[in-house]
Amino acid sequence: MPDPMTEDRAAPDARIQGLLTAMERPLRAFLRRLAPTEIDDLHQETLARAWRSRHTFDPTLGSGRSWLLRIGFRAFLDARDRRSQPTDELPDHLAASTADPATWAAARDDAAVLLQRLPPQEREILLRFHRDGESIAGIAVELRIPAGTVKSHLHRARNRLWAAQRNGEDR
Amino acid sequence: MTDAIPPFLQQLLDRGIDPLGDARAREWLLAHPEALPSFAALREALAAVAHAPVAGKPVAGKPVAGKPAPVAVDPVTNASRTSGPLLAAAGLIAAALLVASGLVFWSTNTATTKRDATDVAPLPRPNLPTAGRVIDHRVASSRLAGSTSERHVVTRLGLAGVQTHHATRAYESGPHDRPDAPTDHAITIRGVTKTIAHVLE
Repeated sequence: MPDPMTEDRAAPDARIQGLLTAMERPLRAFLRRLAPTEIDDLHQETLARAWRSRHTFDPTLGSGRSWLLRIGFRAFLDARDRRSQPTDELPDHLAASTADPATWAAARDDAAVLLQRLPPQEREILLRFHRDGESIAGIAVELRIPAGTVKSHLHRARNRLWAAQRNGEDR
Repeated sequence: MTDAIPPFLQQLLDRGIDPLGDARAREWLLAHPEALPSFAALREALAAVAHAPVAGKPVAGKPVAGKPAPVAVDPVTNASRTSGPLLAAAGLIAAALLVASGLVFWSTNTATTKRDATDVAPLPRPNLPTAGRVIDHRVASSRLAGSTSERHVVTRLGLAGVQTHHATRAYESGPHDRPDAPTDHAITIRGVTKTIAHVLE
């Protein structure tokens, strides 16, 4: 006869295992976008944290996907905070670290595709602001449009980038 | 609820602030995990945009999204279609005058421009996607002198290490100063990039 205590513990364990398996690809895609050079470490850390806190997961409070993404985001923030040491000089092993060229090239290509889908004026304003470092006021003067209009175009362009990810977030 | 970027996040980006360095933004993201994939993708896309080449300078032979070309309006053909040969001739003369005045302006070699002289070369930036610690990045001024353009850039960085290192290598950086840093862990680098014959790197 099965032990009810063991059964109670096994049910959430199996559910979490299934969740971790099903979420592997979108979780790695999410972490890769945040920190391409640390994806493996962050993935492992996220899985370890999720497993340690598996008994805190309550499906009535939210989806397993959101629960796991939040854990991954916390792991990323913690790692990021640990890196932020108040020094101007870098240890050599950190100085040698760079983004994976293939990952970076893929991100750049994706951005190029997204940019091409933007209306021309939104694209120009987005590039002037985020690539060329121009101010909103400066763009307004050059394009001879009100600064509020520049800001509206800029916000719409960012919103399009934000919304565009839903179709390909598991890249 | 997360179909669009929350206004306060937009405002942070308008001010050139990485939302990850803002406590309120971090809390909001943790409270809205369904928005996390969109946020991560937006941040990655903006980092890639920051490195996007300008038109006419493709990367690895691929078509790229650069600065959009202005709407092509040929003063001659456009006028011919609409107002006949007389206006076409007037357009031709006007275009010639524009070219001539531009040559005179260029030949002085003292023009201080905001962008025109350096549009062909992308501004070198720190390695934003690695850890996203660039807080602000601005072209303070540009100056054309003969075949050399010179841009004064100001980059405010979080001390994430990798970015700082890359920035100091990328620019002929000036002294690091901290008094105007907006956070506890930030520096400002003032640098100069020189572009010979408009070709960078």
